[in-house]
Amino acid sequence: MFDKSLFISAVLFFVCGWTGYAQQINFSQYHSYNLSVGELNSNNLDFGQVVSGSGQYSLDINSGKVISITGVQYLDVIVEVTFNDLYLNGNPANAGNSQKSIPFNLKAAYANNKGTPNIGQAKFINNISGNSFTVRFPILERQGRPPGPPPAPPTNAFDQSKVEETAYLYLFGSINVGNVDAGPYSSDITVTINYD
Amino acid sequence: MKQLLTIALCIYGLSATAPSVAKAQSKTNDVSINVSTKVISSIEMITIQSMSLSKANMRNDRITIDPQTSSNAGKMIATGTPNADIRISFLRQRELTQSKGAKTLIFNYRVAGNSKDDQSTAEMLNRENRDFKFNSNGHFYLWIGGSVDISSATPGNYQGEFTVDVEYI
Repeated sequence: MFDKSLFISAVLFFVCGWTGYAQQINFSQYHSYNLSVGELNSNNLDFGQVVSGSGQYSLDINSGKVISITGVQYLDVIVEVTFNDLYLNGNPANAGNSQKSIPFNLKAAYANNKGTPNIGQAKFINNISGNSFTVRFPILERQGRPPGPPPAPPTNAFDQSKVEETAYLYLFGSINVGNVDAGPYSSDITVTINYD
Repeated sequence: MKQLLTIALCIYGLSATAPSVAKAQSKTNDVSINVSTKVISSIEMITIQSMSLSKANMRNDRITIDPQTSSNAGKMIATGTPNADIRISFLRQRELTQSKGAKTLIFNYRVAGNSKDDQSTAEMLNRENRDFKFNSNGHFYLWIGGSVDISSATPGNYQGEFTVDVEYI
């Protein structure tokens, strides 16, 4: 009789422990939802040859970098972007040195319209300050109604291609060329994209 | 007892599959984009010496100054970004105007250039030249000469301009 009650207690401990953990399901974070990010054009943001002390140069949205984001249309993505000023020879040690760095003003927009989004439909991201920003948007914009309930967890029958869309992120901006030393200047923009 | 053990194992088995769903991961996608530019210095022209026609030799009513050899040639230095490629162009013919009068003369310019400060090894320039570059100090040297026919010229002082364009390629 003693052995039997001990065995039941042990089993209940296991069951309770695992059941509590299983309730932390986030319906938008299933590994079976693919998210692919591509570069629509191979262009980097190259301002070309500029003259020291000549002021502002801009690349508009039509000349910027285009990143495609393909995933489940009803899920949101979070896009995190970090960037820096341009440094002589790309050396971050030149940060803060006004003779060896060029201020970079990043601008960004995204398009997530139904069909094939284009630049004319892009929504500009206005709250960019400092050296980073984060923006969240659905792969496909809500079609005139509030977001629906969380999607059912995918099963083996789930076919993502039937609910897949592509949104586009546009990166462009301007530099302000002061009286800096001659030479090549560069830096990198890092873009990280995840499902929300 | 055997039945109870079977049920317990079934419950454990079901609950053990739940975390594999809950801990599923979203994929991270990173993209790195390069931002770049090349900064060059503005080009400046410095006149070291003006061309001196009055001291030049005259032969057959024609005054000629050889830009590669004559000490009467004008001299200029173009300054810019060290080692940068440049294009040099100039107007071959310009009009010289009499200072007190309306007479004119046509001056035919000839120009020699060198990345070294050495007139004797300077290279004669065509009307437009693309194969030059500033030296490691950001300098390029120009010597200006030419010729003018004075057979029908009225005595007096004549003045004119020389136009040379130096730009980055």
